[in-house]
Amino acid sequence: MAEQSLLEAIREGLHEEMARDPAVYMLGEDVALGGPFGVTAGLAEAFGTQRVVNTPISEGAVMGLAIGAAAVGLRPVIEIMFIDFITLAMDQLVNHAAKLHYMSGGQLKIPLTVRVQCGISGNMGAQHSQSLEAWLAHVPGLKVVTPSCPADAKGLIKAAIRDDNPVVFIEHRGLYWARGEAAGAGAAVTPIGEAAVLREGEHITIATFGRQVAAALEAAAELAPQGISAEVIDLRSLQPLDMDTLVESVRKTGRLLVVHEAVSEGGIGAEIAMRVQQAAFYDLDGPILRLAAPFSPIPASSALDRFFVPGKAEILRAVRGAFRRQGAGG
Amino acid sequence: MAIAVIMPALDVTQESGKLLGWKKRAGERVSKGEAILEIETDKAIVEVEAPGDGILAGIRAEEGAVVPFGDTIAWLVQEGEAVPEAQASVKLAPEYREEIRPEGAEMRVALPASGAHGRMRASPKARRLAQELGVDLDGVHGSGPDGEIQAADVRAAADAVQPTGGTVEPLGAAARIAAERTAQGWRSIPHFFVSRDLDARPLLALRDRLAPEIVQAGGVKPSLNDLLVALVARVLRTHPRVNARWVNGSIHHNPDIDVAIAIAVGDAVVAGIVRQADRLDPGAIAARRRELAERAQAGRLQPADISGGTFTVSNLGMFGVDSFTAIIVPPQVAILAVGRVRDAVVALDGRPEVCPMMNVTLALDHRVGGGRTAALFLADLAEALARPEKSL
Amino acid sequence: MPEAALHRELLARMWLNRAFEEKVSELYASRVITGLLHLAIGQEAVAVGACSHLRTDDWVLGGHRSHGHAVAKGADVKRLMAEIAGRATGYCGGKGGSMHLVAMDAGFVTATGVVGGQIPLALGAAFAAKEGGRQQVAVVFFGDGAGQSGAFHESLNIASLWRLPLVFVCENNGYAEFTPLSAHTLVERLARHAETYGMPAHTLDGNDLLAVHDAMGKAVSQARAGKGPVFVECLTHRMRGHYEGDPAKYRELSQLAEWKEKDPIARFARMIETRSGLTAAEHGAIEADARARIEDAAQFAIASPWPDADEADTQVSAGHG
Repeated sequence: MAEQSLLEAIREGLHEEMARDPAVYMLGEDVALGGPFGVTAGLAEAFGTQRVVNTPISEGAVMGLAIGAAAVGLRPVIEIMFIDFITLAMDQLVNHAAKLHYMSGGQLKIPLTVRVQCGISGNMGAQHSQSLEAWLAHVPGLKVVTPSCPADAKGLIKAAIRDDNPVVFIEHRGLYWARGEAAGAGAAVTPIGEAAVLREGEHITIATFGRQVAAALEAAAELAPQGISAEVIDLRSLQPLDMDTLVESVRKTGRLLVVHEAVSEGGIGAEIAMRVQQAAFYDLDGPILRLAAPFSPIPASSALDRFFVPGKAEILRAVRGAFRRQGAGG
Repeated sequence: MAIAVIMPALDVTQESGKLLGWKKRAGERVSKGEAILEIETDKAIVEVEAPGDGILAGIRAEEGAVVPFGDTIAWLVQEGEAVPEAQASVKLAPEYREEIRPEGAEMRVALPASGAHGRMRASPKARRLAQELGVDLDGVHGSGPDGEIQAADVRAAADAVQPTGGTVEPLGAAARIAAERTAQGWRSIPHFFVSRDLDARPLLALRDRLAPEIVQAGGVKPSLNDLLVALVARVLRTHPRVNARWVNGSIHHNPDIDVAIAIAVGDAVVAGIVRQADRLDPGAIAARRRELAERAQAGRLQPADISGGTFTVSNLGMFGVDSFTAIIVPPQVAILAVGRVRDAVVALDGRPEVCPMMNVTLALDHRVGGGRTAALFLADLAEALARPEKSL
Repeated sequence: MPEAALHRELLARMWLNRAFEEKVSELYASRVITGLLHLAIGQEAVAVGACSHLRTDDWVLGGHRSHGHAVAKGADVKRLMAEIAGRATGYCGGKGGSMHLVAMDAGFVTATGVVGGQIPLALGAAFAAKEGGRQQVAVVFFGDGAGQSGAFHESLNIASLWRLPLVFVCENNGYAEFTPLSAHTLVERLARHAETYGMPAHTLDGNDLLAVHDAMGKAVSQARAGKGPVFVECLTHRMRGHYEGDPAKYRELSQLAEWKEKDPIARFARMIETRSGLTAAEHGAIEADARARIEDAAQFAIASPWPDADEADTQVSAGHG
C-alpha cells in the first residue's frame, strides 16, 4: 500500500487537474513558490507562472478576480493562506461568488475553488488558528468540504475543481504531514456531499471531520473492549451535509456526539443536532452531545491553546458520560 | 561552559526533524556560525550552524535519527571540560491533565442538565418502544444518567413479561457476532448466485501426488479444500472485483488476497483468514488451516486470525452436501460455496461416463458485478482446476 | 461609419438610455416596478460613449446604477425591463432585479449592489480575456463613491501590475449616496489614484459625448493591444436622487438647474445640428423611436408572467455541466 501525506495528496490532485484542464489556474500569495507549507511546490515549474500566479496581499481583490474569471470561463483555484484572512474576501465570496449563479438566473456559473488552511497548530494565536467552516456553510451557493486523509484530500480537491460552483476546500494545518493510504495516480474524485462511515458501531454515532476523525477512531477503538461500540462518521462535506448517512446511523445507534474544533456556539454541530433530532427524534436514546472549543478567541500560549482542541481523551469522557449509570458516580 | 547543540524547530506544524548527517566529527573544534550538521524536514534540507565556539562532543543522535525539535543532540565543550550529563531539555508546557484544566476553559461537552424533575425521564426512543411493546414506563427501572429510562430498559421490561414456553438457548459471544454479521450481510447486500459443476479428477490427482510429499516432509496433509483455496486465491488475482470491498457506494480493490475459510467451532462457525493465500503453496495453506482450527477449538483466536478477509470459501462437502448457497460477509463482496466430490454420470466425448464431480456456487454482491463477472470468474476457476499444475 | 451617421447613432443610443430610465421611473411611481432603483438620467454620455467601442464579446461590469450600461452594451431592453419589474421573462427570471442585472448574450457580465464590488470581478474578466488571446477587453463602470473602497485600490494595483486589458470608467457625479464627494475624500479627482498606481489616467467632461467617445476609443485600443489598463474619469451628474424616492434635498436647486443646462443629450444635439446637419424633425423622430421601443419593452414586462413560486429556491447551485 503506497503512502503519502495529506499535503502531497492535495498537490497531486492540483497537478492532475491542471494537467487535465487548461482552464484551471492557481492564484494566491506565494503559490508559485510553493506557498508557506509547500502545498503548491512544483506547480509553477510544471505549468508556468502564467497559470500559477503569485498575487499581492489583496485577498478581496484577488478573490474577486478569481470569481470574475470563473464567471467568464476559467476554473480558478485561489489559495487564502489562513482561513482567518477569508474575512478580507467575504464580500466577494458571500455577495458575489455564492450568489451570481442564482442572481443571474443561471446565466453565470462560478466554478471556483477556494483553498484555505485552518486549525490550531503551532501556537499561532487568535488570528491564525480559527475554524470558520460554519460561517461558510451558512451561505447558500457555497459548498464546503474538508478532508481527513490523503485519499479524500486528493479526491475532494479534484471534485472541488470540477464542480461548477464555488467550493471552499478547508485544509487542516495539523494534518498536512499526516500520512495515509495514497489514492494513486488518476484516482477517482470523492463526491461532494457524501460522508464516510469509517467504523461501524451499535451504541453511539460520533460525527466529526478533519483532524478530529483520527481522535474519534482512536477513542472508538478504546471504547470497544469496554462494551461501547461507537460508529465513526467522517462528514467530509459540511455543505451540503450528508444527512442520509447521519440519520441512518443515529437511527441505529440512538445516540450522537458531534465533535469539532470550531467554537461551540453556532457551529456545524448545532446544525447537525437540529436536523438529526427532526429526522430521528423517536430513535434518540439520549440527548445529542457536542464537543467543541470554548466560546473564546484562541490563545497563543501552548499552555492554553490545548483546551481548544478536543481529542481522544475528551471524546472518551463525553461518550462515557452518555453511558454513565445511575449511582456510578462521575 | 558547555553549549548545547539542539535540534532546531524549523517548522510550525511539525514536531521533529531528521538528522541527515554530521559535517563535523566528535572532537573537532568548531567556530560559531560554522555548519556542523544537516537536517531535513518535510519541506527542506537545512544546514545547522554551531551555536558557539568549542569542541564537538557528546553526540547523542546518529545519522538518520528523527529527533524532536528542541532536544539536545550534542555539546560544544571547552578544552578539558566534561560533557554535561543530564540533557537540559526545553521545558514544555505542562501535559494536559484534567486537574489543571482551569474553570471556564472546560472543553464544552453539552451534557444534559441533571437534577430531579418529578417527571419520569425517558428517552424519545424508550417512549416509542414502550408504546410499540406495550410496556408501562411507570414500572420500568431507568439505568441511564440520573435514572433516565433508555431503550434497553424498555426491552428488558418487555422481555421480563414475555410468556415463557419452550427453552431459550443463550448464544455465546462468537455466535452472537456471527449471527449479527450474517443478518447484516443478508439485509444489505443484493446477492445473486451462479453455479457450476466441475470435474474433480485433476484435483484428486493433485492431492494424491502432493500429499505424500508434504507429509513426508513433516507437513500437514492438504485437504481437497486446501488445494481449492490455493487455486481460488490464484484465480482471484485476475478478478479484482471479486476480491473487493464495498464501502460507501464504491468498490475498493483489496491489495492482498486473504481468503477466509469457514471453521466450525461448536454451534458456531468462524471464518479463519489465510493471508495472501495466492502466495502460499498447498502445504502452507494446510498448515495454516490446522493452526486456525486448533486455535479456534482452544478459544484462542487472535483478532488477526478472523478479521480482514477479502473472499470466503465455505465447504460443506464433509457433511455430504452436494450444493448450497452462502451469505456474503460484509464488507466482502463474494463467497464461494463448495459441495462434496461425488460420482456422477456425465457426458464425456459423447458417451455417458461416471466421473467425480464437484459443485461450486458463487454468491456475488450485485452492486459490484453482474452475471458476466461471476461467470468469468467461475470459468477461470474451472480452467485452473482442469490444469492445477499450471497455476500452482 | 461616416461621422454624420455615427452622430445620429450615438444620439439614438443616448435617447434609448434616457427613455429606459424615465420609463422605469414612471413604472416605479405607478408601483408596477418596486425595489431599490438607482437611475442614471443625466449620465447617458458616459455609458454610450464608452460602450460604442466595444464588441459583443467584450465584457462590461457595473454597479447599482447600471441599467444604462446594460442598455448601451446592447442587452435586450425588453428582458432588462422585465427583469427590473421582477418578471419571469427577465434576463435573470426575476432573481436579480435592478441592481444585479446580467445579460451574458450581450457581454454584460454583471452589476452588483455592493459599492465597488464589481471592480475586482472585472479584474477577473480582464484576466480571462488576456489568457483567452482573442483581444477581448473588459470595461468596469463605478461611481466616485467606490473610489474610497479597498476593492478599488487593490484592483488598480493588480490591473496595473499585471497589465490587464481593463478600462476603468469612473462616473464621478459628485455625490456618494447623499454626501458630496468633498466630505468623503480630499482626493476628488479619482484619476490621481490611478496615476499613483502607474496607470494612464484621464479626467474629462462626462457630459460631453464626443469627449467620452474619443477618450474611450483610445483607452479601449490600448487595452486591446495588450498595453495594459487605462483609467477614464468622467465628471457627470445624476439628475435624479440617489435612488427613486430620494428627494435629494441635499442638493441646491441652482446646482440642478446648472446641470440641466449641461444635459448631455441636449448638448450633443445642439452640437451636431451644426456639425452634422441634424434637423429638429430628425431629432424628434430619433427620440420618438427610442420612446416607442421602450414603451414596447414596458408593455412586454407588464404582460409577462410572474416567476413561478417553485422557482424561489432553485438555481442555488449549478448542476454539473
